[in-house]
Amino acid sequence: MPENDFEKQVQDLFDGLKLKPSDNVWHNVNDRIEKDKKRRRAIFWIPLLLLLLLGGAGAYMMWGSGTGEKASEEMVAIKQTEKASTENSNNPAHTEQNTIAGMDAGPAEKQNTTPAEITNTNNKDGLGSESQPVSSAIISKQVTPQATDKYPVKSKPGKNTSLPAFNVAENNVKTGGQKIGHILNDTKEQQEGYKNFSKNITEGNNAAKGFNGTAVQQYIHAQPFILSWPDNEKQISTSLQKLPASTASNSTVRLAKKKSWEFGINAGAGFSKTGSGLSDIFNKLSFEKSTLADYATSAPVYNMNAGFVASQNNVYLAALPTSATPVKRGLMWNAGASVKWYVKPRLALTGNFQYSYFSTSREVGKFLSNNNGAFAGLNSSGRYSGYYSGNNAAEYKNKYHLMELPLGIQWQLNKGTKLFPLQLNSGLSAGWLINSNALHYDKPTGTYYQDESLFNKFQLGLYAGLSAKLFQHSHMPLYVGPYMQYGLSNLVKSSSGTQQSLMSVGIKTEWILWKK
Amino acid sequence: MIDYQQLVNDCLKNKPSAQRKLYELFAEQMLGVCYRYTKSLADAEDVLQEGFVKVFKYLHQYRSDGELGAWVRRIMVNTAINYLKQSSKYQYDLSFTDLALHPVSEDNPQLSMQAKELANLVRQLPTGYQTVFNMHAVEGYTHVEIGEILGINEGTSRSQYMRARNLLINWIEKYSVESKLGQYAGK
Repeated sequence: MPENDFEKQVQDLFDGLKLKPSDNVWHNVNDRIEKDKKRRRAIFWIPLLLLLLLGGAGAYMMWGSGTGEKASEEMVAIKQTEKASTENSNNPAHTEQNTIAGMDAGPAEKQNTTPAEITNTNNKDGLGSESQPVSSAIISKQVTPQATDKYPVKSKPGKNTSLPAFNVAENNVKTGGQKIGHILNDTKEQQEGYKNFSKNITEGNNAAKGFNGTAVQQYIHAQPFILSWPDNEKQISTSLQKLPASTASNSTVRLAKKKSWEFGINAGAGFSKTGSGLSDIFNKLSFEKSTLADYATSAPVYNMNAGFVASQNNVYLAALPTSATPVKRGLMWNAGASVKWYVKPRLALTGNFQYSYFSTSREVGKFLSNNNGAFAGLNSSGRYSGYYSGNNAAEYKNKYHLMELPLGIQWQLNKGTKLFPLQLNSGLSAGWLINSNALHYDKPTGTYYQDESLFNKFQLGLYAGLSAKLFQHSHMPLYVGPYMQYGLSNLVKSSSGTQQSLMSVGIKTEWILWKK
Repeated sequence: MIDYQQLVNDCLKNKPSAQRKLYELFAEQMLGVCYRYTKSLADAEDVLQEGFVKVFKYLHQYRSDGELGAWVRRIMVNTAINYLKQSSKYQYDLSFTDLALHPVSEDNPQLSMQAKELANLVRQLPTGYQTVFNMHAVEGYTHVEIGEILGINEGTSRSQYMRARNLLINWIEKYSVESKLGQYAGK
């Protein structure tokens, strides 16, 4: 018997193996199918809900948020100048005193730092002799020389020491954007004190001048630093100038340095429309208030005899329509490169260079002729394609090809810590109409024809959009969100002043590829 | 005559009656497949249930040029193999280390037994042997394919299969003898 006979017998035998499953199997399968259906429905609705949520959050952030955000954006960074280090090179005695805390050390610090008047004896560089309130968190005597020499003092919550978050003596102090823990637990008076001091620094009062003079730079950050207890608890009595050369030389302390340039690519898609008002974009159909041909100073005169077009021009005319057919929405897409410059951490100037395609459609009759002889009186440079509206109406797609340069601002609406950052984008878009096959309507003849020369080549538009920054911690974040553009320029050269704008609505994405 | 394409289309439209019909068409046959790969009927039904959920989930991927039954069966086999891999009670047993076996004859006996009896013998094989035997002898997978699916060498699959086959033949012979003895005793 050949060897594979066994396998064949087994196969044949098993082909007939049938076992009746219990009823539970089908019930379970059915339940799973139903669950799957519900999940699919949920997935279908999620994007819509998300969009609503985003819109709501954006609206809330725009109109509902308080003034606290501005203060919460501030941070302080310290930079020591070469000058300061040189001048203080002969003052090693100050090594012990001059430890600057840019951040809070924890709840224990407040209790264990006794308010003291520390006089600035070496105040020669414009700090001013006037003492300023300062937190004991700024000035600490408890830093050991060893710590000053080498390592920044690290704070541990609850530990019984005055612990600055970083030490000026250390060249490479990293502070990041740590959140100050106990500011939230402090009293209102204390918080007011923090704000006042923060404000003082911002406004450049004596204290601020002192800090400025010693190369203290201020940066916007997510939380204010606790720099002062309220009302004369402490005095500013020291400055960075007093740092000895051994600790201050070559030191440039930079905090949370942000890359201020972003370069990427962008693409968007949606639908576009022409109309006389912004609301037209949401109407499926819109009627031109004034036909595009109306701008022509001399309306074309067609050759016809008793209602029939002259046959020598191969132009045929049927019943003349009284008005143009409505314009329908068409697809729109764009793609290009983008650049972004952060003026502030949450405010950026944006620029794009992109190709944009807009389209609309309308029903016209069948093609008549491209012989402009049929239409006397029009600019002979135009290419005229005659159509008529009849029973055999055909859809014609008007296409607009533009190169655009949108310039605007991007403002981050939220902090983006809990929810991903939401940005409001707005600006102007300068565009150049490269090409279009769009038809104009000639009311007297009831025909549609092409004439590119009748378009305004320069198109200025206003755009606005909302975008969510996805993968924000990635090197290549992605911005996605709804987008709307409205043409401020008249699409056609109109002597009557009637506005025909190109407008679009869609989703726009921007992918950051490089930061600098 | 069943119009399978219409049935599939109806299932894709989420018609419950069509889904039930498709299930009833293949459930018994597919439970036979699952039964061969598992050690208990309850496990076989678990695999069947999971397999049918996949069938309905991926039905849009089914192409009408193939036989629907074969497509469903392939899903069941894959589901069964995944079940064996994932189930802790099978994981240990699904080892492909060679077991010490008694020498068996190389004969090819005529199978004078019912499918379920043979299936029960196959199910008594160690899970590794059982799986390779089912995949090669019944489903027709090559040893290369089995190696890729199970993550073993082709040679291991081949040796596992031969050992499973010999063991099974030995059992079948014993079963036949006992069966005949039983018949004689009955007379």
